[in-house]
Amino acid sequence: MSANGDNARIHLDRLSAALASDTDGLSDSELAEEVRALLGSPEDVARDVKAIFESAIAQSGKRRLAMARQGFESVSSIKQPRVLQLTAEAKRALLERVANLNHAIDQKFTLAAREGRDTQADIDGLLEDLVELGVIDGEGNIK
Amino acid sequence: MAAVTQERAYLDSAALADALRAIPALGLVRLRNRAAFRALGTGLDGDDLLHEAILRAMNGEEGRRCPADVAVPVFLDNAMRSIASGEREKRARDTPIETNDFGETKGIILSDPSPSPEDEAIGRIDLGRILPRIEAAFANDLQALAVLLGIVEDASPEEIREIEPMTENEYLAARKRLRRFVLREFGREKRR
Repeated sequence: MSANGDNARIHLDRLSAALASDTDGLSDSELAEEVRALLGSPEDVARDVKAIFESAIAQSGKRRLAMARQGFESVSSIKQPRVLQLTAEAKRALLERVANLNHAIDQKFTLAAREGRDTQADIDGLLEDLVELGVIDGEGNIK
Repeated sequence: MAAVTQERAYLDSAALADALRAIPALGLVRLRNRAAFRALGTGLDGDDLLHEAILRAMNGEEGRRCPADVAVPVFLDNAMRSIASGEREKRARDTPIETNDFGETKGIILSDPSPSPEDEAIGRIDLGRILPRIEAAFANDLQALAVLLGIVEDASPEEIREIEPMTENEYLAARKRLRRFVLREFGREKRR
């Protein structure tokens, strides 16, 4: 940093601090008069400042929401077995293979499942059960 | 009810938002005034500086959170001072200021009666031009000039009044002229 640049910076630091502190010494009426002459009506200035507050609050809120979403997605992708990311057809085919190998599991298939009337949530729930029971691993491999 | 984060004695974002919304109208006006002066030479206007100070506090940035036992307007003013000082330092580092053999900033025509709009705009934000511009404005107002030069050299009001003899009231009036000029020239544009 040049000596000249540093001097200018220091001088402006001092000037801005001095003038900012003067604001505290003004009475309410002196402040209102000064602002009215130079920035606009005090009511308008106050409204503008409120808008600045709300903008910063909203911007911060969006950032926190985005971070929370990111955190949730990373956690859920860790907890969710990859078998649940298979296509619907692949999931159904896996369940049928398992059902063919295991009578007990075959009985878990409802008639609706055989007729394809079950929901994706039902299928995912069944696959999660199979992972938990150790019948398949998280990747969908039959053990 | 928004909570104060007990374990750290800082306001969390909800408590800070509540405190901001509770500042009375004239308190907001004082804050706006202070922001305009704090922003001098940063390249930001007062609104941007105030917005940035609040955003950093709301985001809970390290060293930027509001202590629970500090009045929020005081906290914001300190935050703006700190941010502004950092911005000036960056600008001073990034933009060398050339001077001639007499130490005067190059490229400045101090008594130009009709600077171009571009030159005026640059003069409002260029770190090296701000003080010369203010000095030029008070070339014929020795008391206000003495106040300006005294402030930037960190002189006390008594020292300033010794250098340029004036009564206390004259000193206060000169300082007021200086303050109003800076607010008018470097504060935000007046609402239309």
